[in-house]
Amino acid sequence: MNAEPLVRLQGLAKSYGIYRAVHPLDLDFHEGDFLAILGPSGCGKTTLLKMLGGFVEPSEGAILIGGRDVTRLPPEKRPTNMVFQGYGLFPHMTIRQNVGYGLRIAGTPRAEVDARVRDMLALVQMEAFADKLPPQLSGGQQQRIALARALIMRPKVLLLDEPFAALDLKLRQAMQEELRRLHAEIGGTFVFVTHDQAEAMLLATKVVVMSRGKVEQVGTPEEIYLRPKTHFVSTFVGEANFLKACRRLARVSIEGAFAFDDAGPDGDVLVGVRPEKVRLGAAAARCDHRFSGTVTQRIFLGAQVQYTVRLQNGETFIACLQEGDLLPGDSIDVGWMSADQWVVTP
Amino acid sequence: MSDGAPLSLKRDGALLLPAAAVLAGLFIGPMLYFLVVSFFKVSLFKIVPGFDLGNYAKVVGSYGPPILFTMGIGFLIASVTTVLAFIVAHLIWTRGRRFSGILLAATLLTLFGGYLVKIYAWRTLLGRDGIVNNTLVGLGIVREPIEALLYSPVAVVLVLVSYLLPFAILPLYGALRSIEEKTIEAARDLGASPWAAVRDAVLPRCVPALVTAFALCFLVTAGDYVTPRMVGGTRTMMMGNFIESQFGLRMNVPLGAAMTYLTITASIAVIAFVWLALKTVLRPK
Repeated sequence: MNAEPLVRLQGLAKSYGIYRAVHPLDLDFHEGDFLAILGPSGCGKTTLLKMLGGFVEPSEGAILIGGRDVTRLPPEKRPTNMVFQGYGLFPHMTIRQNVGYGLRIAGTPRAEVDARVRDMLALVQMEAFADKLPPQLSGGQQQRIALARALIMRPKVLLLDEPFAALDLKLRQAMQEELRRLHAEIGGTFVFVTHDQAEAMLLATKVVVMSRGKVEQVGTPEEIYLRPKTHFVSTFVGEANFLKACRRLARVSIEGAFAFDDAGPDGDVLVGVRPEKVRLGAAAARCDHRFSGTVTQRIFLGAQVQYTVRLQNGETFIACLQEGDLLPGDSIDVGWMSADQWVVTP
Repeated sequence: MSDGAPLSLKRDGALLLPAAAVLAGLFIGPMLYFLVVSFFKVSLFKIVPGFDLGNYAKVVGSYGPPILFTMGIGFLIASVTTVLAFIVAHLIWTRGRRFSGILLAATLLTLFGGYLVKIYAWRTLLGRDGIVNNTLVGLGIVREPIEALLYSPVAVVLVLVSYLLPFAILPLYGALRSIEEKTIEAARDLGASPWAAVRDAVLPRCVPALVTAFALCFLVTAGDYVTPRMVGGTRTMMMGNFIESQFGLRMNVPLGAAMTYLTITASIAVIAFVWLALKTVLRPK
C-alpha cells in the first residue's frame, strides 16, 4: 500500500463563479482500492467524481493517474470509465451494441469485440438479454449493463455515480453484493459516490467523507465510524452521544466528572460515544467513565432495545443494548470505555 | 366517456369524425378527383372523360428535365436547410443554457414576417442595385453588379432556405430535447470524440425528426411556384410553375393533374430514399 498511488489529486478544486463546489483537496488512492465518496446531497461529491472522469473541468489543481497528468484531458482520453447515475445506456442500441461500443470506437477487431462482450455479459449474468434494447430491461438489469459497458474497457479507475440510488432496497442489496463480487473477481480500482453511509461502510475499503465541498475525513470504514475526526462525521456515519467538555493544556475534562489526556488546541470540545458502546447498570461498573442517571424512555427495536437516559449533569444519552428490562424512572449507572470515545470540536 | 376512463380513439372512434370529414372533404376527395381526371383527355378546351395514359406519357416525354430539376433543387434546399437547422438546434440545445427559450423564440420570430415579405426582402438584397451588389462594386471586388445573384436558381435556394429554416429547427430541437445528456457523456467516456458522440448517440435518435424536417422543406420546395417566379428568373421553371399554367392559362386540367401525380410520386421516392439512407448510415454497428 505504500507504493506509488494510482490516483493523486493535488489541490483539486471547482468553483462556479463565487460558489466553491469543491474546496482545494489532496487525496491519494492506490491500485485495488474500493473508495467511497460519502456525503449529503450538494456536498460536491458528484462534482469531484465528474472531475475524475473529465466531465467537469477543475478550476484549480491537478489529477494524476498512474503518474500521468490527466487534468486537461477530455473523458475519451482518460483511463477511467463511468457508470452514470440513471445509467445513460444508448436506448437505440441493443445490449450487445451498448456493451461493445467502447471497443468498437477503439477499432478493436470484430471477433475480439464479440468475444469480450460475451464474456462481460456472462460476468454480469445478462447473456440472455444480449439482443434486447435497454428500455425493455428493469432498473437492476440496466445497472448491470452499465457496469458491463464500463468494465469491458478495463479502466484503471472505475467511477460509479450513486450507482444504486434508483433501486429498491432488496435489489440494491443484491447489486451491492454483485459489485463486491466483481471487485473481488476482477480487481481494479473502484470509486463510487453515495449519500448512504451504510452502503459506504459495506462496500468501501476507504471512505472519503465530504461536507459543503470540503473533505472532512479519509479513512477505513472502522476509522470513520470509531474515530470520527469532526462533529459532522460523528453524526453523519451513525448515531452519537455528545458530552460538553473543555480542553486545556492537552487535557480534556468534563466538569464534576472526569478528565483524560487528549492532544489538541485549547477550548470547548465534545466527547462522543456511540449508543451501542454505552453500558448500563452492572456492566457500567467495570467502565473507565461512569455517570449516574435516570431512564426516561425505552424503545424496543427488535434486535435491540434503545434507552434514553438523563444523566446527573442534565445531558441526555442514548444507549442501545441487546436486551434489558429497565423501565422509565429507574435509576441506573451509565458507563463506557476510554477506547470507545472520541473528541471533536463543536 | 362517462366512466371517467381516458379517451381512447379505439373506443370513442366517433370523436375522429369531424377531423376525418374535413380531411376527406377538403383533401382526399379533391385528390381522388384529380387522380381520376389525370386519365381524362382535353379536346377543344373541354374535358373528355375516359381512360387514357397519354397525359402521363406526355409528362414523361416532355417534362422529364423540369421534374428532375425540381427534385434536384428540392433535394439541395431540403438538405442544406436540414443540416443548418440541426446545427442551430444542436447549438441551442447544448450551448443555449437558460437562453435556449429566448433563442428558440427568436428563430420563430422570423415567421412573423410573411413569405412574400421575405421574398421582397431578398430581392432588395440581391437585386442589381441591391445591398450585396452595391457593396461588392463599392469595394471594387467586382466591376459591374452580378446579375446572376437575383433571377437565378441561387436566389431560389437562398430564399427558400432562409424561409424554411425555422420550420426545420422545431422538430429537430424537439428530438434533441428528449435525449439525455448523459448518453452523450457515456459515449465520450467510452472513447468517442465529440463528433463521434454526436454521430453515435445523437443523430440516430433524430432520424424521424431529420426525415420530418427534410420532408417538410422538400415538399414546400417541390410544390412552390411563387419563389421561382419572383426570384428565379425566366429560365428557372419548376414543376409548380408548369402545373399552375396547365390549371390556369392553358386550361388543361388533366395534364396538370398528371404532372401533379408524377411530381408527388417522385417526391415520395426522394423522401423514402433519404429516410432509408439516413437509417442505413446511422444504424449502430
